Amino acid sequence: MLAQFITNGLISGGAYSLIAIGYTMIYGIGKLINFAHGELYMGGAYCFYLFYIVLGWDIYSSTLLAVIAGGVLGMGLERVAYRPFKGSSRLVPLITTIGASTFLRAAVTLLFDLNTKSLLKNASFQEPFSILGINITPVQGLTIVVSLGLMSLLTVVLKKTRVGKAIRATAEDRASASYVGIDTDRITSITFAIGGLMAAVAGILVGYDQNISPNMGILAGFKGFTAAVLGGIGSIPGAALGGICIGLAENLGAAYISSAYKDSISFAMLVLVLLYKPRGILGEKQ
Amino acid sequence: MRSYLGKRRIGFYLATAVFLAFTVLIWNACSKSEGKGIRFGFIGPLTGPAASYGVAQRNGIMLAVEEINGAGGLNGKKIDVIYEDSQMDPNKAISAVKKLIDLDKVCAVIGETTTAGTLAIADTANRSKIVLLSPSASGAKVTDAGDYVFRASPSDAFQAIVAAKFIFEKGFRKGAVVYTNDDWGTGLQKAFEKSFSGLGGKILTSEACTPGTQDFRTQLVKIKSFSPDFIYIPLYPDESPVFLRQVRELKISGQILGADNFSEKAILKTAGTSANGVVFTMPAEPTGKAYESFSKKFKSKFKEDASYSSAVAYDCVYLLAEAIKNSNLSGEHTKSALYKIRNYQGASGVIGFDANGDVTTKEFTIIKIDNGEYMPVKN
Repeated sequence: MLAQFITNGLISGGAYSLIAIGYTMIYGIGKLINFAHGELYMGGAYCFYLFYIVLGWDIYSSTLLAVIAGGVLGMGLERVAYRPFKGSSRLVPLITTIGASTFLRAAVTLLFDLNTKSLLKNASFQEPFSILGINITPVQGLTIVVSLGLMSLLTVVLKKTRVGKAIRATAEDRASASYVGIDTDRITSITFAIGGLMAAVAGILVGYDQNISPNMGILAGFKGFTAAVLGGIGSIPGAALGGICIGLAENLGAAYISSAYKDSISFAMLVLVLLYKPRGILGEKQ
Repeated sequence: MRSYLGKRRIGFYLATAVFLAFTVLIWNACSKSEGKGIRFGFIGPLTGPAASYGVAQRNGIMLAVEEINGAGGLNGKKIDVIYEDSQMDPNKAISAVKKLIDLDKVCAVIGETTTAGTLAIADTANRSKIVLLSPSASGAKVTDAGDYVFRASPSDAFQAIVAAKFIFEKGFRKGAVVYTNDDWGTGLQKAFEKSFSGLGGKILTSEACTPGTQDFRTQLVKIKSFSPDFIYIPLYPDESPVFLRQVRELKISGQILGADNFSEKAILKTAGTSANGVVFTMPAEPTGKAYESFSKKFKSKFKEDASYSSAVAYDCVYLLAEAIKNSNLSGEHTKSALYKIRNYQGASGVIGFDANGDVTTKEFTIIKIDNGEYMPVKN
């Protein structure tokens, strides 16, 4: 049973990590907590619903296009809610992203409706397979694999490629980065796009596993944000670690302490970590 | 220089906005004192986890208001309703009820949809002497919520007893409970456990979840280890389909026993075949002539199937109209007139209030879900 609890923790933890990465990267580059990030996650899932269920396209092109749509949504968000307020108080883009989050949720509610929807085409549930006594559906396995894979890929991209280096340079010191010829506006836009892509992947995977609704981004956004802070905001490995920690903590907590506290456990853990390590587990020293 | 001008301009805009806001307020107050119409308020979750209830109720209310106004109104005046979205958040319900009573000067409030919301706003309604008529708050605590609080659906104390008795008589002895951790869910969970144990059955484990939960796997794995005969699930409509799906995916056998969370047919579509065989309690089987004529009108207006929720909200408007008919709009009067209603033939069943403002004339029935359809079960 412990193995099953740990697996459950890894499934939700993987999704939290993907969301946390967007928070952490956007914070790194723009010193902004993007409160509409949960809506990018929800938006990706709804784009998939639109392509796959409403328009009836095949699963591969629906997934690909929905992920791209998530990236575009991230870039659009940067254009509308971040770039026009560059240079003003840091509180301004904070408020505009809250506004964007409300707007996106309302727009999806109007376009579709409020009822939860299943992303499965013909069946109402997936047949699980068993390994070592653990029941897991294909998409749940995929969630773990894809989240770990994407995070490793992203680490490589940031370390080795030109764009990755430009992102890191901009995050470190925006002014100096622009002095050496980096188009920091473009880099910011790309960062939002990466955040949107990751969130959309998480949204599609979780949505396929657990149904979708316009409100799915709220709690997921909070959890992703908590994961980013827990791991050390600004740090990519920190976001990954934070997500997995929260996924494991809440599932093991629900199993062995009480399921009534499942959602509080992650926040309690955050408070504890911040008391002893105020910059998060892997946070850099100032 | 630029920022200085900017600040002055902001000041100007602010002053204009404040001025306009006051104008609107005063104008509103004036138009109210002229007493053009009769104004009700509605508070319910139009968005959020229980939105399917709230939207169905709003539609039921709209239909009733349209009918009454089409037939010449109430006491010669048109009814208008102000709809407030509580998002299933008791705090939002409190702001909404204050706005409705203080600002909009409504003469009665229909709502809140959920037990937690109704309990949160009951105090304000009692103090302001405004009738609060909830279509669907079913928690046992609502009974003692005050003199001005009424409800058109029967109490959960009763619903849980019906469910416990039914499942016990069918020969099930070992149960587990998964419930939403709020007033409604815990109310049902406690009442169910009490009456099921009282009958001689055993509850092996109860697991809670936060409203809006979509991942029940850990709770379900725990339950599976107890291998219960059945699982009782007082969960909200948006939690129920994914719960059923995860039950099937974790290969958990055993009867699923629901509460009125399955009374919205929309969720059957999302749940699909995983809802087959679920048995649940529904407040009064909505059949009969009144329901049929209501559901026909509802379908032609909204292009959607009517449900218990929409029917009971529709009845609420007529109940208030009945109480206010040929009389003044004071809350005190509306209250005492409602207490006199004993035998109203509504679309959602017969409605009569007892001394606590509870409905005692409706009975819960047991329904089984079979390929997206409701099958009444004889008990």
